[in-house]
Formats: sequence, structure tokens, C-alpha cells
Amino acid sequence: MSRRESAARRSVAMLTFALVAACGGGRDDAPTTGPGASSSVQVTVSGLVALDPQTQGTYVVWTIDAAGTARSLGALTVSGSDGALSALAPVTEISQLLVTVQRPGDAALVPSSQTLLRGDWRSGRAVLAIETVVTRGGLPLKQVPGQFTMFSPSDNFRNGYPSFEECGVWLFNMAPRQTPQNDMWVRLTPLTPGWTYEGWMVRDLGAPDAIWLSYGKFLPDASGAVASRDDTGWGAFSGVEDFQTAGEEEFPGDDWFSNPLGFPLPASLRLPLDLREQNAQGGGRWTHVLTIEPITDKGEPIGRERPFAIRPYRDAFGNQAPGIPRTITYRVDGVPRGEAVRR
Amino acid sequence: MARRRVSAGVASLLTVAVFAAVSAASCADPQTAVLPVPEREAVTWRPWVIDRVDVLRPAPPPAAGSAQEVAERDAVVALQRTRSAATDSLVRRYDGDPTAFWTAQAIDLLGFYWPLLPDVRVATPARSARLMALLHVAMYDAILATWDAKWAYARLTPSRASTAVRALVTTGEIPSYPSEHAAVAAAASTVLAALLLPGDTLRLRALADEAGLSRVMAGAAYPNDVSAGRALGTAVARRVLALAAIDGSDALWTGRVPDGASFWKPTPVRYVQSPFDPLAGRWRPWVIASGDAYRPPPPPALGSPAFERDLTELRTLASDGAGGRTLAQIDAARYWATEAPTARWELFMQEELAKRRLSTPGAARARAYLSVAMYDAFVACWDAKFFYWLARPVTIDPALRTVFSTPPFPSYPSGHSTVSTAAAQVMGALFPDASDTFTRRAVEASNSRVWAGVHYRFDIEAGDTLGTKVGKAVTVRLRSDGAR
Repeated sequence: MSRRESAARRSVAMLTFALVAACGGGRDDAPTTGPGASSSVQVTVSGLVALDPQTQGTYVVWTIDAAGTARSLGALTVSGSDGALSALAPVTEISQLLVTVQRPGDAALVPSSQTLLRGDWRSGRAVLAIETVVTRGGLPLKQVPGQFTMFSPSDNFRNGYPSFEECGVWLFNMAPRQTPQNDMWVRLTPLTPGWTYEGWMVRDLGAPDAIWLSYGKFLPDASGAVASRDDTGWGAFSGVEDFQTAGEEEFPGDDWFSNPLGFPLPASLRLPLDLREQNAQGGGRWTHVLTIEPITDKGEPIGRERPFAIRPYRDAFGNQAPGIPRTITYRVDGVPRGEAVRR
Repeated sequence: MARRRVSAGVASLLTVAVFAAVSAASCADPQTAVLPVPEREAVTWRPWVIDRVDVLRPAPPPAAGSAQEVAERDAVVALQRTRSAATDSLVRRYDGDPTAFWTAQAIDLLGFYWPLLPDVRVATPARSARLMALLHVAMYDAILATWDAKWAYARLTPSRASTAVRALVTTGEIPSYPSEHAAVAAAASTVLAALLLPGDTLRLRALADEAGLSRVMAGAAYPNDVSAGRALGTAVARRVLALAAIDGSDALWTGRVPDGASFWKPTPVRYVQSPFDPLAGRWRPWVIASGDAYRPPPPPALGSPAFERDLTELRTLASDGAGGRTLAQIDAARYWATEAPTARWELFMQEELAKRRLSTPGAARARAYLSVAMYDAFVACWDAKFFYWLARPVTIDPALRTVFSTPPFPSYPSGHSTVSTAAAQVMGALFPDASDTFTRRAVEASNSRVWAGVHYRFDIEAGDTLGTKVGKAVTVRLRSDGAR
């Protein structure tokens, strides 16, 4: 290294040091009573769903220091869709905060792989968001993904089954020219390993006895296009003829036409479903929901699947005719987010 | 889902609403609106199906000032007294170039049937092209026949003949008898109803009735103009459908796929056993002599250097390494695969005509040439596809990753390439100032099939050559049909 280069490097280093000192270095350098001293950290999160501690686990807040060591601050207290926690933490040593879902049986000393929210701790504050952990590359969730459509088989009458057209739901753009992508494929933000999208039809969403019927889990490809069938294929409640011929589709969805294998169904449901079913007040009973789920969340009993806390897309099914495209709508209130601040 | 079958009509309602909204936005004050181009010379243009433009000329309309005309005028006035926001909306929906509305209807109906493939084979690529050609030929001939009668009788529109009638649209000097909107509506709805499924018929007829009524409500036509137009349009449609009945499209394929490593086999993911329209190469074309008139030479032999070179290109594109598909290429591949390529080009024509001030006959003529060129291109392409029966890339290399499922018919030559090149040629001849744009789109359409991994490069090269020949043949007719 030449003398001139050495001098230049010293100048850059000094300038960097000065800038870091002026800006706080992105870390909390406010006066404390000493290295490692604790202050109160308050964490608030919205958009949560309450978990059953026995079967689903708890939301736990963690601090991560510069060396990557995790320390639990404790479990969030969830009330309605809001979660809160106040705890003492060594604020000068915090680099990041995480909110994880700790499943029953998870080790208490390390964060589970199901990190729900993450935020960098800067100047005594961290904004907690899913984008840095759930979506690939920190990309935001798609605001206008595309359409879903009511469809079901029709020529099953040839096999001795009646034809119903109001019980199937499929995830593709029936009217592509009304979408930004101008093609048939719905676009969703690619997810990080460990997460998957799941499609649902929900009867009486929000009611205590709401029924969530999954039509399967699926992932978009690297470009974000939803171009393959869901993981149930022609499963559970799919159309009889297609079920028999095991035909494959390139879109997630189900013809909820019949139940040829006799899977258990909630007692209040009768097949074939009518997704345009109305309640006594004339309102539609069914809602289409897309959730983001931990990929490990498999093996739930058919008909008793539970959605996870990230529910970014929610649309009343409505009573439009079959084949009418329905727009998938992004709901900010269905996405957990929060912040942590020093008090 | 594949066996879904629902009323296609409802799928188009939204489009109708959008169309109405667009029309509403463009509905101008009759005092200030741009006058329609009369294009009187259209009576000298060459029709496609009728022998002469005056062959269907209706009997004269009621004489000016006659009791019958007074009664008709009173009927218009009475109808206008029921004017409301709803009727204004109706007037706006059908005003302007009548072929635009019906083209949009057809594209949307085909768009509805496209995802139902392969089970409901209404909108296969070749059948979509056939439908659009028959539709546009029928509308064009109906307009030429209408134009003949209009200028033969020169009947003033109700709003020009009487101050008692309000002009809600601009008609300029174009005579009212017979109504071109009613004629086009009758021709289009009759052709579409015959070619689509029964579930669409009632709605199409209702739209046709609405189109005629809207012109009476607008003060642009007497009831007699509408009925004469409807009769004329129906007569043209019957002639078109009579030709369609003997074009060979109803023949059933009873052949079998040849055996051999290089021959087509059902492809993933659905492994559709019966390919689309194996006999389309024998369908009767409009301009070229026959499907085999320009049959391309055989594709490179399996294992030959040329074959291996193009297969290697597909493997490279499918890889995650250098030379792999870009996101832009994937998006372009999906864009061109979402509807039949004919639909994309018909939409380009819609855009082009919306930008330009063509007469009603001029717009109908442009649509007819584009659709005929694409249909003939499909016939020529399908002849070669089912003459050579070349296997798709994914059959030769099952490990090849494609962007979407390979369509269920042989590879060589590419339909997208053949059709798009022919379409670009015709559109370039009609609108030379935008020729480069059309060429660029055709090149992208061709390349999109290689990017998707569903065609070899030699498929698209052969398709481009074939499409160029078909396009030239159609352009020769275009330049000698009597239009300037």
C-alpha cells in the first residue's frame, strides 16, 4: 500500500467514525447507567389472532444482540387482535427484535423457526414487520394480486351426478385484461423458506363458530406467478370426475362439488356447498381468504384446519354468477405489524 | 375446474359495463362531435361473401312526408319521451363504430372459453380464428350492403328530417335507411350464436335488439330502418354461415398419431390425448388456395446438429445459470399465452381503430382483413403441424422446464409465429406509420414461445416464413379490393 493510499484510508476511517458518532451509529447510544444496563422496552403488535397455548402456542418477543445471541423478553399478551409486552432489556446491546410463534413443545431458550415479525433496533425504536422475514427479499405483499373465480364441474351429470356451479373456487384471472399483469396468472410475493400461502373459503367469518375450509397450500414461482396446483390437488372435496381421472390443473382451487371419500365435514355443512349462501339478513355467508402459513403447519384434520395469523387477502364471495371474476383485495388489517420502543 | 361449464354470458357483463363507461366518456354533444366519415365510395369495395353490394338491397323506405313516415316519426318522438339516464346509457353504449362493440363481445366470449380448454373446445386457437374471421366478414359485408341501400335511398335520419326529434348522437350526412347498427348487430349476433354454445344465444339476441332500439331512441333511425337493417344483416349472416357449414371444420378426426421418437405425444401436465383440431389444415381458407399452399420444408431431423442446437437453447433458457430466462421473458411468455394469439391481435386492432378516424366501412374492412389473414395463417400452420407431427421439446427432453404447460398439438411450425407475422403484415399494410410496432410485437410473440420452452427456434422461424407468405397473399387482395 502506498503512503498516499494509507493516508486516504485514514481519512476515510476518521470521517466514518465522525459520521457514526454524529448519527448514533444506528444503535442506541443514549446515556445509560452503564454497559448492559436495562431499560423498559414496550412492544405493541396489531393484526394478531389469538392462539390456543395448548395446541397452537404463544407469541414470544426476542432481542438479538450484535453477536446473534437471542434473549426472550417473554410472551405477548394478546387481547383481540392486539398484543402487548413490557419488559426490561439491555437496550444498548439490542441489534434486532423478533416476534416468533413458539409452538407447544418448542424450546423456551431459542426462537422457533416461525419468525413472524422482525425489526432493526435504532435509536431506541424498532418497527416490526413481516416483510423482512416472511417475504423473499423483504418485498412488500402484492397490493393487486389478481382475481379468483367461482367455478365447478358441470358435465358430471354424465356420470350420474348433478351439476352445481356455485361451489367451486379457483385462483386465476378470469378477466386477465382487468389485471396489471394482463395474463391468466395471479401474482403473489414469493415467500422465504418455511412459509406458504393457503387458500380458504370461510363461512361466517368473524363469528365464534366460523368454519374455515382450506382448498390447499401453494407457492408462487420465482416470478411471483401462481402457476401450479395446490398441495391437495384433486383432494377432499374436489369434483368427482376430475378426482377420478386425477387430472392436474395449473391453478390452486377446488371444485367443492362432492365428498366421494367421505371425509368428515362440519355438521352444519351440506354438500354441494353454495358459496353464494346468504344469512337471514341477506348478507353473504362466505368469504374468500388467502393466508400465509408456516409450511410446517401440515396434517391438520380435513374440515378442521386453522388459519395462521397472517391474512393479507380477504373478500366477500358475493352472489355474482359463476365465471364472474372477483378481485383479490389486500387488507392491511390482516397483516401483523408493530413496534418496540424504549420507555 | 376443467369440466366447469357456466353461462358465458355473465362473464361479459362486466366488459359491457366497461364498454358503456368508455362510450359514456366519449359521448359528445351532437353539436360539437366529430362527424362520421361518410365513405360513399365503400359501395365500390369488394365484399367477401355476397356477390355484389346491391344484391340484398331492401325495398325503398316510406316516402318523405308520407303517412307511414309521419307515423314512424311519431313513434320515435314517443320513444324519446321515455328518455332516462338508463336509455342515454344505452344510446352511448351502441354509438360509434358498430363493429367495435361486437368485436369486443366476441373477444370476451372467447376469453371466457379459453380457460375451459381442453375440455370445452370452443376457443381452440384455430376455432377462435375461424370465429373471428366469420364474424368480421359478416359484419363487413353487412355494412357494404347497408351502405349501398343508404346511398341508393338517401333517407334523412329522423332528427335531421324533423325538429320534433332530438339528435342524441352525431350521424352527419350518413342516411338512415337501413340502420348499419341493426345490420351489424343482426349479422354478428347470428354468427356468434351459431358458433358458440346455446347458453349465449339469448343474451346475444337481446344485445342485438338493444342495439337497434338504441338508434331509434337516439333519433338516428326510424323503426323501419332498424327492421330493414336487421333483415339485411341476418341475410348476410345466413350466407356466411352457409359457407361456414361447408368449410370442413365439422369433420371428425379418425386418424392416429404416428409412432416414432420424433412424433408428437401427449404432454404434461394434463397429457391431453386428443390434439386440437388435427384437420384444421384442410379447412377452407379465405384467400390462400389451400392449407398446403405454402407448406414449409421438413423440420430438422431429431439428433441433427440444427435440432440439437435449438434444443440446447431451450435447455439453457430453462436453467438457473447464465442464459436462463429473465423475468421479462417469462412475463412476455405468459402474456402471449393467456389468450389465443388472434385475440391479442384483434385487441391491437381495436386500439388502433380507436386512435384513428376511420369510416364505419373502413373499420370493418380493416377488421375483416386482419381476421381473415390470421385464420388463413392458422389453416396453413395446422396443415404443416399435422403433416409433420413433430414432437414438442418437453417430449424430446422430459427434464425440460417450461413456463406453462405445452399446448396439446404438434410443434412445427409455431402457430403464434405464423399468425402474428401474418397479422403484422396486414396491419402494417393498413397502417404503414405503425408498421414497426406491429413487427416488434410479432417478433415478441414468436420469441415468447421459445422463452416459454414450448417451441424450438426452428418452429418460430418456419412460422415467420409461413406467416409472411400468408400475409403477403392477403395483402395482395387488400390492395386490389377497390378501397383507396
